Amino acid sequence: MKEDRELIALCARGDEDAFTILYHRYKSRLLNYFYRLFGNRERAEELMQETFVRVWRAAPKFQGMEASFRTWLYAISHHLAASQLRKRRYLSLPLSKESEEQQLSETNAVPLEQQLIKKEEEEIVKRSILRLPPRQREVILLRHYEGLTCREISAMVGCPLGTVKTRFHHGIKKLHSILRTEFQNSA
Amino acid sequence: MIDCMKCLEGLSDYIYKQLPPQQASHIEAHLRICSPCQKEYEILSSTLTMLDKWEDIKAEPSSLVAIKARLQAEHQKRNHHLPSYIQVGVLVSIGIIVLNILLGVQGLIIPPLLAHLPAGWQPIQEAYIPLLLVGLLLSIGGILTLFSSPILIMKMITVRSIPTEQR
Repeated sequence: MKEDRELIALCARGDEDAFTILYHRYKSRLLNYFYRLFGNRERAEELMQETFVRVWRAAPKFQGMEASFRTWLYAISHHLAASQLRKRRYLSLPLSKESEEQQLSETNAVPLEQQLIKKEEEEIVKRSILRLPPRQREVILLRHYEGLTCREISAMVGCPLGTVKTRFHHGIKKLHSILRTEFQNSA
Repeated sequence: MIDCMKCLEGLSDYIYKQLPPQQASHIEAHLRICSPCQKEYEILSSTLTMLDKWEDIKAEPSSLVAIKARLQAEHQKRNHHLPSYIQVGVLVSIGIIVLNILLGVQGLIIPPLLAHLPAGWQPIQEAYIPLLLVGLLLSIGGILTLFSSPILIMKMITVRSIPTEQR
C-alpha cells in the first residue's frame, strides 16, 4: 500500500489513480468531520468535495513540507470550515425525519425500541456537541473522532499547544454539563 | 511521582493511549491516590464515551464523480481563457505600438512645421527630440513584450492533466 506522501507526489504530477486512492482513504473522515462541525449532511458533502478539489490544486505545493499529509489535509479543511463559520452561512440543522426513518429501517436487525433509544441518544449527543463554541467543538472533533494529537491540531490550526489543550479541556467540561442536562431533560 | 497539574495535563493523552508507557504509568499511579484527579478522569472518560454514540455517515457514491467533473470544468475554462494579466499585457503592448505609429506619423509631419517656427520657439524644437527618443524606446519595449507574450502564455498554460471520468 502506497504512503500518503507518495500518493500526493503522484497527484502533483497529475496521477488520477493516486488521487482516487487518497479520496477513498480520507473521504469518510473528512465528511464526518464537516458533518459533526456543521450538523448538516449536504453542507458536509459540499465541503468535503471542495477540500479534495483544493488538495488536487495544491498538490504541487505539498512537496518539501514537513507536516504529514493528514495534518495538511485537515489544515485545508480547517481553513475552509473557518471561512464558512466567519460567513455564518451554515446553521446546524437536525437530521430530516426521512433520513432518520431510513436509518432506522436499515438497521432492522436490532429491535425497534432499542433503535429508537439509540437514535434518541445520538440526537442528544449531536445537539450537545453543536451547542459548543465552534473552536472548542473543532478541537474535540479532531481529537476524538479523527484521532489527532494536540500537537498535530496545534500545527494544523496554527495556534499554541497550550491553547489547543485549554480549548479541549474547557470544551469537555462544557459538553459534560450540557450532556448531563440534556439526559436529565429527556428522562 | 507527578503532581495534579501534570496529571490533568496528560489525562486526555492517557485516555487516547498517546503517552509513552512510563508517563502512562505515572498517571495511573497518581490517579490511584488522588480522588479529585480520579473524578476528572471519570468525567473526561464518560464524556468521551458518550461521543461515540454519534455514528459516522457514509459519503455519497457520486461525490468522486462530482469532484472530477468540477476539476475537468476548471481545466477547460483555464484552457479557453487566458489569465487576465496576460490579456492586459497584450493590450498594453498593442496600445504602445499603436501610439508609436501615431508618433511616427507625427514625426513626419511635425519636424518640417517646427523648422518653420520663429527663432524664439527653439526650446520646443529641442524638447521634441527627447520625446521622439522616448517614443522609440517605448516602441521597442512594446514590440518585445508583444513577441514575448506567446512564450509567457505557453508557460502559464502548462496545466497538469486533470482527472477525467471515474474509473
